[in-house]
Amino acid sequence: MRTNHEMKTIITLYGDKVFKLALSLVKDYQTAEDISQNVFVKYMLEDKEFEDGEHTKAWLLRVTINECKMHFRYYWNAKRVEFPKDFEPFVWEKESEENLLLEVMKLPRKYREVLHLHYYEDLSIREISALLKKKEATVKTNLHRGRQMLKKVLEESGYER
Amino acid sequence: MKDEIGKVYKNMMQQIPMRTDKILHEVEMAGEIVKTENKWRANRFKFVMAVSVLMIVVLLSVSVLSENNQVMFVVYASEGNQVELGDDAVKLRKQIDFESAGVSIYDEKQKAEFVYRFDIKCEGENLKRITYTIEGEKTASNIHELGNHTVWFAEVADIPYDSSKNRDYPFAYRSYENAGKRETYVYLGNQYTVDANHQNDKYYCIEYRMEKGSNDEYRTQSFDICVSIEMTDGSMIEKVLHLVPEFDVMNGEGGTVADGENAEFYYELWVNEK
Repeated sequence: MRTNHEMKTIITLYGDKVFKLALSLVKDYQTAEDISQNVFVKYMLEDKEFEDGEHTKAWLLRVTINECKMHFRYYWNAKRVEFPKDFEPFVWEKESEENLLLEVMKLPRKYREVLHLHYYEDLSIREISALLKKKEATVKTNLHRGRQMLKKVLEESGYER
Repeated sequence: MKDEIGKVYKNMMQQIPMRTDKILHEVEMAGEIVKTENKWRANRFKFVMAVSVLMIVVLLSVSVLSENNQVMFVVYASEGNQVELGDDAVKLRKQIDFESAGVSIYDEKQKAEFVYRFDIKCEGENLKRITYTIEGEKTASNIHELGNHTVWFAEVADIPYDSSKNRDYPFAYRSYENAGKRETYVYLGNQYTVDANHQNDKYYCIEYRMEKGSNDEYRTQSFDICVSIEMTDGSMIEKVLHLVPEFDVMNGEGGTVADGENAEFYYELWVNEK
């Protein structure tokens, strides 16, 4: 079992990635925190030695996706589509960004998944394919469609930077 | 537009804060729970192992003790063969050396007494003393005081014979000439004790008395004999023998008797370990 010091280091390094991926998938702040905790507890109990940071990151993202899938196995969770507006400690810089997030969260999960991994984690199609265990063509298609949807959302919401 | 979409999304997601301390705290708490569970599991494992070892030791001890203290009964059955007593009932030898084929009808009330050789021996390791007790029976000062349907132990012994006192000996009674010797039955009551090493020194008998009923029939009742075996290490083993007097329908003509000289009924005594 890993020490508290090790866990503090790893959460500092990868906590944000795990949490954001979970949030993009489950669309709930508290649930994303719970899933993040589960992921890091698994990491703490995992005896496996990782080769490097990329290996660790890939393992954490994979476990996060699996934990989210476990979450969606419950009917209630799978059917919950609304993204809560007023959760703490979240305060947007612009109201338009809050609305944009709400619109993004309305996209189907399979598109949100690849969009997040591609844009937020800067993963290539090949890396996403390996992580999700899906064909590259499938990932490419989902990314293309997701991007189109996101573009539409941005245009419709009149998002301005 | 492609890069712009990515930048917008990334910027939007980056603005969402994460409570690192909360997650770290929860993970540390989970770690403590896991450590506690691991300790508990380790302790439980030790406990289970200790209990298992203890049980094995107890079982082995019981096994060894039971091997050392295993007692079995050997019966010299009616055919004279040596039989190891178990669940199956074995017929005891009737004392046929005397008049009326072991039956004595001795008074005007037509009390009948059957005498059986109690040829039962205890065999085993580390036996010291054996006490046989007929359950539910009392000891009387005179056999004539004993009631109907009474069972008692008697010992076969040689004593001076006085024919005039044949029926009046309080403790020694019914002396007969047998094979050139005069044998007398000595009343022992409901209990006797014998040293394990001297079981063959004397003959012991069981006498079963019953009185003729109103319908001219002799009815019998089964009874138990408690056997207390004292071992050389001081421990005790108790076993129970079950005895059933039974009318022999194959050989008997009926449960009636005209007189002592012409007995026409046969009761057998069967015994098994209860």
